[in-house]
Amino acid sequence: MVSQDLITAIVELREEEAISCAKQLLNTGVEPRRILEDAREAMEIVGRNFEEKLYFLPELIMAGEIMKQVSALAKPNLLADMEAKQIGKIVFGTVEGDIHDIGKDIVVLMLTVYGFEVIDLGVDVSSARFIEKINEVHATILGLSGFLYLAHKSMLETIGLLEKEGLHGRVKVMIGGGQVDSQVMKITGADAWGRDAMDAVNIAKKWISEGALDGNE
Amino acid sequence: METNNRNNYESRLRRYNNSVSLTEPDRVPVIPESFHFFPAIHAGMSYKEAMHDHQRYYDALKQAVIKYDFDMAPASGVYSAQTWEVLGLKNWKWPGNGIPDDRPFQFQETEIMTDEEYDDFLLNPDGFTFRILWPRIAKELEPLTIFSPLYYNFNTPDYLGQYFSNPAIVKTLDTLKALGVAWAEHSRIKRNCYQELESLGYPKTYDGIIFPPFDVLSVWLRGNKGTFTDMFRCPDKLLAVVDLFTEMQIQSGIAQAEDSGNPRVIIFAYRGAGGFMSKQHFEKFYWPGLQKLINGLIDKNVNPILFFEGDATPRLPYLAELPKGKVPIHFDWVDRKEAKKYISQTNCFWGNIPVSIMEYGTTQQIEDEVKELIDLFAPGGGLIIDSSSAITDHAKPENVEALVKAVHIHGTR
Repeated sequence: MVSQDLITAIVELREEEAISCAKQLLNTGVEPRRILEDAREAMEIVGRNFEEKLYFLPELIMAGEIMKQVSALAKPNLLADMEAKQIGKIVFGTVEGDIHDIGKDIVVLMLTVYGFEVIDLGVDVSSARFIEKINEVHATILGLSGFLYLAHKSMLETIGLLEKEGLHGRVKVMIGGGQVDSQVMKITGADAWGRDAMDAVNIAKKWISEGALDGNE
Repeated sequence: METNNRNNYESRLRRYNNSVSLTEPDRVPVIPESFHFFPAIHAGMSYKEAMHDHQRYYDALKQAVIKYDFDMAPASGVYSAQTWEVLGLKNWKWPGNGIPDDRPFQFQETEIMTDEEYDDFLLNPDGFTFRILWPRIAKELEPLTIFSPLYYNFNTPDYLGQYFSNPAIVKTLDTLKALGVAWAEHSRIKRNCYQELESLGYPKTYDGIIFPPFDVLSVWLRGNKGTFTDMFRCPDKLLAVVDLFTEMQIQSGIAQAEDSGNPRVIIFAYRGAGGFMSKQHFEKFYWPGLQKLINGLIDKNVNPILFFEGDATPRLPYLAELPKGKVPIHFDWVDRKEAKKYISQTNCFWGNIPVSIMEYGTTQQIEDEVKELIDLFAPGGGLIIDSSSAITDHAKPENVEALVKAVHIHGTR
C-alpha cells in the first residue's frame, strides 16, 4: 500500500477503498501529515479534472466527502494542520439578504483545498461584518456570493464600504453566483467574477502570484 | 368578453401557438414567462406587502400586463405568506419571517430525508410523507409524527379516535382549517385577476408547475449534496425514486392542466444544466426521467414548456430529440448559434436576454439583443422574446418597454 493508491482511490472516487487505504497507511506508520498531503494532492487532481470538464459537481462534492473522512482519520482538524502551507487569506460569504449557500460552499471547499485560508462568514452577511472580519484577520481577498438579483445591490454596498474604508486595492474582490456576469462585475465595482469554483481558485491564485497581495502582512 | 378583446385574445394565442409549432406568426410574440415582484415594486409595495396583500399585488400585476401589452399574461411566482405562516414552513424564509421586508422569499435547501430512508420512502411514499416528511417541513405539522402507519388501522378506523382525541392533533386540525381559508382567499383573488386579464384579451402563460423528477429529489428531498453523493453511494435507490417521481410529475401535470383548464404546464429544470453533472450522469440520472415526463404529458394533450435554468449548451443535442413543435424551451444561458443549429428546426426558442442587461443595460442593448434573436430564430417561426429569467424584480421599466417596442419594430412580418 503506497501513497499513490490513496491518491488514485480518492481521484477515482472509490470511497471505501480510499478510507481503508488511509487506515492501512497510518497503521504502517506513515506520518498523518503525509496522508493529508496525499489527500490534498488528490483534490488538486480532482480540481484539474473539473477544470478540464472531466469532472463536475457530483465528483467534486463526492471527492470532498472522501477527503473529509480521510483527513479526519489522519488529523481531526484538517484546516488547523494545513495552516502552515496556507498561501493567502480570503474572507468569504453570501451577501446580505441572501441565504443561498450551495455555490458558496463548493467554492470555499476548493479554495481551502488549494491552500487558501478561507474565513467563511456564512449567509446573509452584512457589509459591516465583511469589513470587520477583513480588518480582524488582515485578509487580502474578499469573495462575495449571491444567487438573487438583489444580491448585486448588497455586493455594490459591500464594495462601496470597502472603498470608503480605504481597503479596496489592498483587498481585491471576486463575486459569483446566480446571474453574476461581467456586467454585474462592472456595476458592483468588483475586481473579478467567476462562474464556478475553479474560476475562483484561478482568480485567487493569479492575484497571489502577481504579488500584489501578501497574505501574511 | 367584448368582441375586440376576444379577437385580441385569439390572435395572441394564435401568435403563441404558431411560434410553438414553428409556423411563422404575424409577429414574434413577447411574453415574460412569469412575474415575481416586479409589478409590486413598481406599484410602490414592499416584498412583504406583496406576499400579504394579495388584492394589491394582483391589481399591480394586472396593470403591468396592460401597461406593457405583452402577448400573454405572465404567471405569478409570488406566494401567499399567510399559507406559509399558518404552517410554519421551516425551509422557506420570507419577508417578515427570517428575511428583511425588502428582500424576496428564499428556499434553504436541506436533506429532509436521509440516505438511510430511501427504502422506507419507497415502501410507502404516502405514509412517509404524512408521518415523517410533513412534520420535518412544517412546524405546525409536527404532531403528525404520533400517527402509526395508516394501514395499521385499515380495518379499525374507529381507532383513529386515539389520535383525534389528542389535543396536539386537534390543534393541527385547526391549523389545516386555517390553511384552507388562507389558500382559498389567495386562490380567489389570483383567479379573478387572470380571468379579468383573459376578458381583456390576455391568455395566461401557464397554470401548472412541475419539475424534472431528478430535481424533485435533489431540491426538495435529498438536497444538492445529498443527491450528488447518492449518485455514487446508492445509485439504484436514487433511480428508483426518480422513477417514482417521473410518474408523479406526469400525473401532477395532467391534474393541474385539467383543474385549471389551461393546457400549458411549465417544467422548471435546474440541475440538468451544463456544469452540474457529466454527460454520463446526465444520461443516467437526469435525461431519461425528464424525457419520459415530457412525452407522458404530450401523450395526454398537456402542453409542456421547458424552462431550462443554467447553461443549456451542452444539453442541446438531447433537447433536439424532443417532439417537434411541441415543447417551447425557455433558455437562461445558451450559445445562440449552437441553439440555432440544434433547436431551430425542432422547437421554439424562448428567453435568453441576460437579466443583467434588463437590470443594468441600456435600451439600445435591449434592442440589439432582440434584433439578434429575431435574425437568428424568427425566420420560419419558433421564437418568443423574454429575458433569461422572466422579468426580474429590478428590471428597468424602460428596458421592459424597449423589449416590447423592439419586438414590434423588428419582429413584425
